[in-house]
Amino acid sequence: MNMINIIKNNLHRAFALRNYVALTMSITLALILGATFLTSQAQSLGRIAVIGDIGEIVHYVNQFEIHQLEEPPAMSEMVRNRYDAVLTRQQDGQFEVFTLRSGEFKALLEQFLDDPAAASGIELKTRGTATNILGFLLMYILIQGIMFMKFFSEDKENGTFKRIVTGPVGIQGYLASQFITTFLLIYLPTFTVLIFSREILKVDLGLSYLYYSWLLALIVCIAAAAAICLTAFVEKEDNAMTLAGAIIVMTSLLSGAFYTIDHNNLIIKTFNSILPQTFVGIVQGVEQELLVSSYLSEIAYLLLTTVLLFTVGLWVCRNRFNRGAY
Amino acid sequence: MKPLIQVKDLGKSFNGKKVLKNVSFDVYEGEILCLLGPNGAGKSTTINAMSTTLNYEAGEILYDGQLVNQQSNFFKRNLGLVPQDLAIYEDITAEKNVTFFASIYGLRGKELKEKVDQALDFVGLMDRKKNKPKNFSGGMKRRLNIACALAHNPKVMILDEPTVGIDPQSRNHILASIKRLSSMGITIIYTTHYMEEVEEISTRIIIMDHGEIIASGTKDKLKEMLQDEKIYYIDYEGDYLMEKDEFYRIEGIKEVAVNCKRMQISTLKGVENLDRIIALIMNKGLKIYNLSSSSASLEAVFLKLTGRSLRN
Amino acid sequence: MLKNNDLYSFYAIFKRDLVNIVLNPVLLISNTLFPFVLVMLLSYLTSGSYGSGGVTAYDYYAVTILIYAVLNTAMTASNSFMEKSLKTSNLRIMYAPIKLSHIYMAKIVATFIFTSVCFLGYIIFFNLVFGVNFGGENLIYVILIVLFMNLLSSVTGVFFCCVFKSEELTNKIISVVINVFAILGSLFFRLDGLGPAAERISFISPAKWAAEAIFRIIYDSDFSLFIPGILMLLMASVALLIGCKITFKVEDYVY
Repeated sequence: MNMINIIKNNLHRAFALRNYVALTMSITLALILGATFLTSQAQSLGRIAVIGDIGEIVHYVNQFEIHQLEEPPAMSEMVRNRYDAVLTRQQDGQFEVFTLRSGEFKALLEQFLDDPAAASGIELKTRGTATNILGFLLMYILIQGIMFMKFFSEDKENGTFKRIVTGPVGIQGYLASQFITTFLLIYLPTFTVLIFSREILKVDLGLSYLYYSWLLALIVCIAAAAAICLTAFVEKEDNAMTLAGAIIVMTSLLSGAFYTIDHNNLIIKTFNSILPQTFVGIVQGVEQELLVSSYLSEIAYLLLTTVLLFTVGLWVCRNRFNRGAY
Repeated sequence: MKPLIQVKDLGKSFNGKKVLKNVSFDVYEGEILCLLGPNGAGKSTTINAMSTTLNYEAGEILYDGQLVNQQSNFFKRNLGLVPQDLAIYEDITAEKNVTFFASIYGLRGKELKEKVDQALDFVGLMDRKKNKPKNFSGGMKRRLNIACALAHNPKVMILDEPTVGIDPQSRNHILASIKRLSSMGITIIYTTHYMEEVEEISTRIIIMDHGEIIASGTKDKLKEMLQDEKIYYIDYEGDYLMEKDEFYRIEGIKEVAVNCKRMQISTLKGVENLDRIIALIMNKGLKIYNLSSSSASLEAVFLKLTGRSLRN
Repeated sequence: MLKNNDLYSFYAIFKRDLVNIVLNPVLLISNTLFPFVLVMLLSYLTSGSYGSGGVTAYDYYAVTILIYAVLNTAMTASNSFMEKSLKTSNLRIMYAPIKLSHIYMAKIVATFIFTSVCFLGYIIFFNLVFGVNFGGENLIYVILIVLFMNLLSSVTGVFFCCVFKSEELTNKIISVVINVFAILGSLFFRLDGLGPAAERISFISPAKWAAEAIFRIIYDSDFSLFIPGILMLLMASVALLIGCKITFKVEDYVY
């Protein structure tokens, strides 16, 4: 009963943030549209600029994106990955290959020029719509977790935290209430935007509402629990925001939320498997219609991570409270 | 004697509501002028207008004969303002706090250092000057708040409720400091809703309520309004909330203020009605656990003028 | 004498603001360690995209993350102005006989100087240790673009604080805008290769223009975007400074 009162009170306080909630919904919509657009773009092994007669290369546009140019692109364009390689037709009819990419790519390209048929056997790794949507939303949802945990920071700073937890609800109940508030403030608007995207804007979301309901719930749980943990450690709201932002940006990039990470480094792979953002792998599994059992362990891992983060946050908070920090 | 500061017909509205209505008063050099009134009376608005940080729609404010909003820097150079909210840097030492705020008034070099030490010594923080305010008690922070307004030798000091939320020892220290400042010739404008403080330090008092001045004068002059009256203070227990009208039926009763645990009843001297007052209270099932009386007090004056207790 | 006092007061406020920024560990780390770690991370993850032609992933990301860090200066600026623990003490200054513009100008200057020193250190570090190409003999042009952009960022953070009167709200909005600009500007991963539509959208982002200008100077010795870029940055900074003057009202903070 007391927890419900805290949740209700937080939602009243959240009413003052309604403009901000509207802004977050707009950004969520933009991310969904951006991710959908990204999926619609054809994937390729690389963008190739061809100077001179394209010749037989034109048959292999499925594997590479070919652009015929009159002049070689500027070096800055190469550095900015506008083109992955420049093929210049020589007088003897052969192509000179120039690329800034790794030696392996150059070798692949040269192999393709020698034996074009071999390229057709190369499989392109594509990401599904839902993977892109949830991957793009992932970082933003994690940041929202910190933002909507502001009531916890505020309560600590203005003394109401102490007031509340010395009552019957206790620290555990209080933090659970904050978890639920944050969950609702992220989940409901985000799901609303998904429905709006599909029903009104006719965007193909890649998966059904049922799948989105639990996939979204999973990541919002992680976001709320991580926010509680971080906010428990860092007292000032502004510092929590800055630190959280940095951690989230870096771990999201590392985990392949925006693009598929294809690194063979053991440390990266291990790190990847620990990060909660690897929930993207679950989405991929769902989209590929794999058996639930193939990603059940990841789901369990994420749920466990949620519990762990919450518990750590609770422990830190309780410890500080008992030491008289509040 | 020519006033140092003149406030004439000051008027200010906020969101369509008039928060200052034709406020006029003078401040004389060397006096301690107390602005007394409950929360929301307009005290802070008045001093913010005086310190040129708040625009006003009507009236004028003069310092040494010059309009303050036209010669604001001239006035500000001679003004030391102690804001109600603590305005100090918690993460740097007390000495660095005072040094910074003094330096923006143009003090530098040896003079700056001397003035900083004098200010800290004055508020009794000299031995803590190398410590950071985040480790200070509330009272010490308030004293540092004052020192930051003092170092540049202002001629006028405005203190906006400087003793809110601090221990009695610190409060006494602050009040003693204010009296010392006044003896050094500094003009003090002091706002508070604690009449005990006003009783202790004021030269003159202005009582404000709902954006207006309802009375002004020295302590004694204000108390003369009640020379024929005395006040009963009754602390009680019980659920029943007495209505004022129930008391007005008793002979001699002039003003009544009731809150949930305390009553203030102003009655004419010479009319023996205490027994009827007590009987009325007890008939309602309430228990009296403390009763005292006094002759004229500023709280009683406020009660007479507004029909409310200062602490309502 | 009066002018001397004016300058002295400004200097006193500026000094305090600079110290406040330096003493804030979060600001210190976010302007030094964080960009460094981000460059290392992204360069490592995308090392496959480079390797031949004398250009490494570090050459790309050292520049793009520098631009990202410059954008984030806006948050340092707003923090130095109205961070909760500093707000009342910072605004106490308005009771002093100083120009009101000194209050926000000092924050802008302090932020600009602190972050510029960090960024110059960043350029020196990555050039010396990782051999990152910042333009060689054209380095000065790159530095000028970075500095003018940094100035605009510093003014932007303070301007939004003047408008919203709250560091918290300012940072919430700015951080979202910065990250959107960063993504559109291909600062973390390329957007250019996603087709003409994506490329067109990316031109909304000032980060895109800055990266474009800098990479052209470094690799093509092409200065076509330099003068227009500097002028636009300067004009925008002046416009926002005027905006600060209009929107910063002392009485919003006393009543």
